[in-house]
Amino acid sequence: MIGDPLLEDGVLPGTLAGATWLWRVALHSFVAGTALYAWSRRLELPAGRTRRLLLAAVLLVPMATAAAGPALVGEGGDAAWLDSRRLLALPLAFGLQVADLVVAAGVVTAAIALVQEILPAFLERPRRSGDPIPLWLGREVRSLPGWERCTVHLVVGRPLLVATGGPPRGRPHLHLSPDVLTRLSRDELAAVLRHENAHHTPRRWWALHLLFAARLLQLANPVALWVFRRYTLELELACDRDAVAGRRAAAEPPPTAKALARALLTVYEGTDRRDVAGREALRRRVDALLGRVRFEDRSLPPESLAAAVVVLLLALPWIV
Amino acid sequence: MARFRGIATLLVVFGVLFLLLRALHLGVPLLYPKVLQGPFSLESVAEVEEYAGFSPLVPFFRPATLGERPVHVTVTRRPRARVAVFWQGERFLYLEEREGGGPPPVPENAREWSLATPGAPEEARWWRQGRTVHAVARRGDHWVEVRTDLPADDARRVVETLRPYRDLL
Repeated sequence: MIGDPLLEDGVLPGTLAGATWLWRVALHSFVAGTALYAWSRRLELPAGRTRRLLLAAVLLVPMATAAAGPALVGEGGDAAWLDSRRLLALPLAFGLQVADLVVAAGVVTAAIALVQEILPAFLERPRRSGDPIPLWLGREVRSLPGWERCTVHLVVGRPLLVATGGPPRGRPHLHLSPDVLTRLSRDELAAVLRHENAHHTPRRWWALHLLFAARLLQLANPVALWVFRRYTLELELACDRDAVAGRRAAAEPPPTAKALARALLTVYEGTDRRDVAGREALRRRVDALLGRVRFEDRSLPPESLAAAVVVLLLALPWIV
Repeated sequence: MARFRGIATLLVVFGVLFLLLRALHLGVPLLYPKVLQGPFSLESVAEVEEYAGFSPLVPFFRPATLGERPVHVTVTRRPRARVAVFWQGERFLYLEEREGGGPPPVPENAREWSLATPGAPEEARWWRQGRTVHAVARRGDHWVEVRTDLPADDARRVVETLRPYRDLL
């Protein structure tokens, strides 16, 4: 059997197939990401739904094309347009090969994802304080569309936290840390609540959870790490936009973009300086709110997006 | 055409990217031929070391019924370099060899050959399947699988006399 240089022989066949698939997913997402990034730069695509769909395609399409590749080009890869095993076998210093570098990069990426995202999600879970919430806050939250039955909890353990939970069809939950009530003005808090409310739509909830599952499967893929972070930033931009546009809001006038931008700057000041990605995302959101970032939901027609996905589906399997 | 806005650009981007990938696919083996995994069909056992990175074990006992020279010499480089040498005359002998890795599978009814000759493989087990004698031998960190329709005694001598090709010259 002709196998993969990443692995020694003697391993379980399922492990070999799984590792080979993961490598191909990473390779395909790199190629797809490069092509779509160059394309979006060329077309100067603004932030918005089109860009989110392209990012989702980079995360999802390679999982299918990586599985289809061997069936098309054969296990030996004779018909492949690019046989990556040639690149993986390239020699480096000290008897190492590019394959060893790839494994090391995968391990580092998985470690980063675990330390920065997955472990904190479990270890730094906010605890409900049990303190009563101010009446005006409860009224304000429940006046938002879809949140008529929302439960509000004050939590301890995380500074300046406002987060929603629960599936979109179930009873929503809102978690706030008490310092939010003291450090944000009423206008700023109203803007933040509308932002969280904008997150709580079935389409956004399901899309985010589906992509998170895909991203967990690709824990060692640096492209998936970048793409998912980029997707969440785009989602935050969209929710900011909805919050200040009042698209989903009730009868009250929507808060101003400046109020939300001020709230984000307060969060920015409270964010650890070492959290470079988090601070960069906050800066970008403020820029968008102040009109320094172009935003357009339908910057490309759906036919163009579908054609781009078809091109990916047809081209990527030939890279093995 | 407005419904497919940007698709021509995407095709150009993909075209350029795929040409670059193809250049890598074809160019890398020109610079480093060893990245090709094979299988390589070689003219003689003498070329094996260049492709596999080790000198293959070949028997210096080869009955005339096997023919003068092997009819196939094949090297596959990955995941681990493997060499297959096949003699076919009135009788056949097939050797498949690799350096390192775990032992090849051996059935429970396999018997052991104790090979006392200096330089012979440290361990060898054999069994029959129809008229074919199968054997698995280890010499140092080389594993050799043998298949032949030679009589069992001859098969044993074949295994006993396996030596690096380099030493037989």
